[in-house]
Amino acid sequence: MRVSGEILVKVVKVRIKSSGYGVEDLTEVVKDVVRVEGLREGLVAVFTPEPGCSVTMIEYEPGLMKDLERVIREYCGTNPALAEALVGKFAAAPVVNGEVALGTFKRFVLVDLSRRPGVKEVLVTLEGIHGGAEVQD
Amino acid sequence: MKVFTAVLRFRTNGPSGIYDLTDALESVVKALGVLEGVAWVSAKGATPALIIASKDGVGDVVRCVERLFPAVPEGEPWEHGNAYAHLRSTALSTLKAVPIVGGGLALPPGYGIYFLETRPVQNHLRQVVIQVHASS
Repeated sequence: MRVSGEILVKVVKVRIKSSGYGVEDLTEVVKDVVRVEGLREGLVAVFTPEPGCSVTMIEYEPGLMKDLERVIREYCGTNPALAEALVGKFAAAPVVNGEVALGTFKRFVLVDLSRRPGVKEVLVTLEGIHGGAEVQD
Repeated sequence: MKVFTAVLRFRTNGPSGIYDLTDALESVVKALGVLEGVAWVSAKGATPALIIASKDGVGDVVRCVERLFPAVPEGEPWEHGNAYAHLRSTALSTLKAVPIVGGGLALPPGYGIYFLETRPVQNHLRQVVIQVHASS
């Protein structure tokens, strides 16, 4: 499928409450941003500018989150900078016909190891063709 | 400006099945006639992974994540049964980008883009989304 139009880049700031040590599922917020901003075909990227926080893609299941914590502890010790670099600050997925193409279980997840409770900023970047595009199958 | 989306569907066997997507990606780019742009490649699902590596090196990458996230870890077992598959996927990522330069993929000679099946599956249907962003 080929969608023609002007490629726009939009950055939307969202604020996520965090305990300061844990994980938050960002997927529904990201899907809402894609829907509200009307991204039709393109890429949605999720980034956190917060020190000590990462964004990754993984199934959001309590046991698996414990396993993720275990490997972070094993490989990064208690140094949040290591986890921040290894887990990464950014994750992205294509948007196809207005839907974020993730599959059944994959989620956007904020990993907060900052030990600073509060509201954390996440930037959702939308790049692609927004509503009203010319579509050719 | 154009965004072109194609979906590759194929069946996998695992664990540690490696599938070369390079020719399929190249075919999509060539068929579009795009001279300059970017090809985003994304594997759907929470356990596969995509790897850009040399043909000779991709097996080493797979063995490396097997060591980092073993199916049976030392000490306590994983809380989530197939955590190793999820962790290998998360560590390697399900998304890669390859620039398109001069109508072809800007990969070094002998390099490719590979799909890694991390689960012990037989004949499992997988989907990879290819999205080309280009100015014409």
